[in-house]
Amino acid sequence: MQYQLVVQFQANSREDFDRLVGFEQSLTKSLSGSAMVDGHDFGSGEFNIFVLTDSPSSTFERVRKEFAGRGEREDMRAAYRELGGEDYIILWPPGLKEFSVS
Amino acid sequence: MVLPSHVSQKKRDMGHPATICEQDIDYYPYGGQENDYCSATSVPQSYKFNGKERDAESGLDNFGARYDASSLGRFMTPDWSAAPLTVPGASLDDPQSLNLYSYVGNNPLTYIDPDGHCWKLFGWACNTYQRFANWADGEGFRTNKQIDNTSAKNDPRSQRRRLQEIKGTVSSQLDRTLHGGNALGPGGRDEIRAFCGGNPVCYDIHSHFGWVGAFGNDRWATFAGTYLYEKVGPNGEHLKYGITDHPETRYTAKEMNGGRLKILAEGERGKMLELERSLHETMPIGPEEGQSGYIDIQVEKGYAPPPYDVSPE
Repeated sequence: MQYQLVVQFQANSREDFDRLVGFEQSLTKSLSGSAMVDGHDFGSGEFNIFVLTDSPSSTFERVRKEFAGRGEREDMRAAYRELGGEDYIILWPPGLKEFSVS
Repeated sequence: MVLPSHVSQKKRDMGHPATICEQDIDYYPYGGQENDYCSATSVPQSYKFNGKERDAESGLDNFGARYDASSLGRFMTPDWSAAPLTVPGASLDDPQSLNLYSYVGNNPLTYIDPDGHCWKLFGWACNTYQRFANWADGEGFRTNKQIDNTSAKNDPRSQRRRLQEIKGTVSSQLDRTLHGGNALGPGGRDEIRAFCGGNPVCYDIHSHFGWVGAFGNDRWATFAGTYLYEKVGPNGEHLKYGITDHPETRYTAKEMNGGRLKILAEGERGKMLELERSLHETMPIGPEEGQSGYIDIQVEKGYAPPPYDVSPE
């Protein structure tokens, strides 16, 4: 896999943790074959899901559909970078200028 | 009677009849064992280098405040102080003191370290230094140990010191659990450079934990499990926990920002998730995690410190 896709949420509680781990597990099933969910990190106010993929844009579309299907608030951010690279290319939301992982 | 040793001296137990040789060992300057003259008739005795207790499983020496790895010639955790200091115990006129992992300023032929904090020519010098420092800090003319022994359980300074001690000990135990007292062999850092190419995060992880020395490149390449890690900032402050199969590519150098990943456990993903959840159980989660002294602040608010018992069975 050539790229790392990062899907980021604001998260500050155990409830957020359980909810987003559940989402990560559903992604692991739905993306299997085309991309690999590498895990997550949680702390400092954010929850990031890391996905390794060769086609970040199409993978993110599938992530977004999966998330929308859960009927939750859409506070999601997403960006990707080349593995080993430093700079993110922002995918979501439209108009977002900066993306970082704390 | 155990005769306390400094370095490369013999320690002999005279509490038994002269015919029983309980312990008679020569040490290298950093604590490695050179000769054991009693190996044939040895009685189990865990107090070894400098009279400190050596953990049989990990080989680490308990100096009180920290564990020392004689195989590496350094402490497993950086020096610390109860008061917030940028570089605890350091003196700018002695560059060796700026390395918080070093054992007695890398001069073990001259100095001793009685408690894991303070290395001087004589133990009493350390105690005297502590007494004056604590006196200036409003704690009376007492050593750190005296303060700990006489302070009430709810004394914040004593609690902070105890917490720091627990954190240091736990870090050692976790590192040890995973990496088994590994040591980078000769040329180990060159191997890491070759293995990691130009990836500074990969280099940082491997040089901290010695994976190349412990597992070898093949071990790293073929391990198919998941890692539970803690991301800490440049001053060791807690930032977050996470799980990954590929810690070497998880963050960019900019995101590491001088911090590092501490690998806490490895194994099956479900188990790692369970361990991570247990770590989140006792501490609030939020933007304040990046603050220096976050755990201390939360403990003062009344939260219990993390359970830390996350070593895989």
